[in-house]
Amino acid sequence: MYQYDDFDHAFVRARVAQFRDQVNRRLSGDLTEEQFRPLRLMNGVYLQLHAYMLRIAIPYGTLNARQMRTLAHLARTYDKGFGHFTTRQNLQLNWPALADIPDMLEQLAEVEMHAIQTSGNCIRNVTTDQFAGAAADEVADPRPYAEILRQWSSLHPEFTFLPRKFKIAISASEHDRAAIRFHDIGLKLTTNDAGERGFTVFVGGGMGRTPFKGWQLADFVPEVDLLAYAEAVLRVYNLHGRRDNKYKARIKILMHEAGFDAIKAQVEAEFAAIRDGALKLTADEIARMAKHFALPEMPARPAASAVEAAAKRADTAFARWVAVNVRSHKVPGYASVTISLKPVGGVAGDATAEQMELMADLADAHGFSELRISHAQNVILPHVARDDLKTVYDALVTAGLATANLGLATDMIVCPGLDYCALANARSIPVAKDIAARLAPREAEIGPLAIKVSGCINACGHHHVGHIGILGVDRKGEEFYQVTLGGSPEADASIGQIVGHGFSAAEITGAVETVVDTYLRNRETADETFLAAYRRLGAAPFKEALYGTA
Amino acid sequence: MQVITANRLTDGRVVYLDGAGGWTVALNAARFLDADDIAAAALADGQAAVERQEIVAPYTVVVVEGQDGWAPRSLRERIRAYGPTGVAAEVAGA
Repeated sequence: MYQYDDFDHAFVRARVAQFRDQVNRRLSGDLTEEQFRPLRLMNGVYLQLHAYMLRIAIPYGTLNARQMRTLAHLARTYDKGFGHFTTRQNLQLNWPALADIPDMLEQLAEVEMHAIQTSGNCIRNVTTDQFAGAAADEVADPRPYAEILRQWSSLHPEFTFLPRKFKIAISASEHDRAAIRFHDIGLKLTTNDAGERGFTVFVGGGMGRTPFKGWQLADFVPEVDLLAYAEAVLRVYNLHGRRDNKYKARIKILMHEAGFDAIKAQVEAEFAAIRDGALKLTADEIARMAKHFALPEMPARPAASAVEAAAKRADTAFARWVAVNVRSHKVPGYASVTISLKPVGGVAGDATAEQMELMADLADAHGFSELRISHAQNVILPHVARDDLKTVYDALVTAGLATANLGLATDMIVCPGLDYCALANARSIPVAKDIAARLAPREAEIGPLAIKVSGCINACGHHHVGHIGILGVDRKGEEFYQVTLGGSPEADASIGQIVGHGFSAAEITGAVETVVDTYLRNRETADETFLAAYRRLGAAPFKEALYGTA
Repeated sequence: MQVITANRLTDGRVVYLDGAGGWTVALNAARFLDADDIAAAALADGQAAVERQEIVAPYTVVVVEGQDGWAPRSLRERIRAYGPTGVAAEVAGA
């Protein structure tokens, strides 16, 4: 992974010192809350329901064991002993004291971490595929480009006062595991007919109160032009994005209101003007960055592991976990392990300090010290020898981290909701727990099913792209939940359709179960997934089952 | 009935204006305000506390009396008062 150089160390330390001074001036009254608020947001500090919340950046979801241990230490020392992994591959701590945050940031800087630009009207954490570097189906590891974008976007002097937040995601496979079509800029690493690398560029995707699939603004931008093209998009957005209404300030609204042709023309004109300037990447620079992300030295192993096979014969639970949570690696004899943070009865995406330390230990012992965070709020050990899977599994079992549910009904994306978030209208965590408890006994039978729960229209739980999406609303002081069906964040992107009136907190679990039962009754074969069946059947049978009317 | 609530500046904790003009994390130790004009005056005290760098963003909260004493009427304010629901008690407490 990327290693800081002297410049990076000095940069982050200077930022910590600057923020320490800002905090001191806030505490002394030299800065009012109105003056301090944009400064603290740019350092990832929110004021939520219960306390401040610190959002720590995990660039493109990659961290090492030492960094994970530091997160555990911060959670234990300055918080309530746990943290929450988010849908942007970051970590949130929910109760830090403002007075302690500079010390926390200083300790993060010592392990090459920070909280810069995890909030505010700026370019946020660039996210990517959690299997980057390990996936056999990728054109190349997207993370060097993610790191290049991170360096370009950090404290960018033009883009520190954007109309609104700006989110970039990058993937490198036909299977989009980063939801790139639902980001302000989505980048798909690809090759042209000559075998040269470049990007298909999607612009104007997003969720929130007006979801849009991104428009394909460019079919192929050569890799050396990545930054110039991104800069061109940002400049057009910065110039024309609305600043009169924060609910209409994202680039998706600009694309929708100005039109694809008008925006494309402006972006192309700006790109043409700047593409051969200072932002032009060189093959050497890209190669230099790629070296940071080279695979570790992985001793050759046979593709099939006799140790694993014997363990699966002896332990059916282990066999099931391998079948569900373990993914083949491009290097024979290795695998990528998804550690589920969605235990039935637990809070999706949460990990205790002890669990973080265990995962760090496993990474050190069996994973070349590397971990990833997926946007689905799970932790991944990307490079594990198949011979070591049983050892890893047994350790995970002791920590409650061995739930075999990747991609199944209980592997939900769930935002913090009204239990934590000042923006929320309804709770999401208890709803998700209840649904998980109801569906867990049948999730193997149900098959792949993505349920996503948001506590408000900001859609941090990605409900718009859930196969079953649940949106919490406030109806006259009571929590109600709308159901959407048929969303997908992948290459077959679709926004879920609202099926009808909402359900109370007491009714929503039953409603979700009704949807699932309808699918099971109507699927053509056991292999027809929920999404495929919904797309074949349409909403009618589900509406009929829920409301008695088609 | 109303109380004045805010977040404490130094640590962001939820606090309530108490009878001595200070701020308490315990709702049942808050100063209860039984008329709008009294609440408005108390809110002005809250603004003064903002300027003394004690709290952030004070506002009024409606509380109702139940079997277990006074509690916020809205779910949001009950969560602010008692912590996130459905988590361990040691986490939920302030």
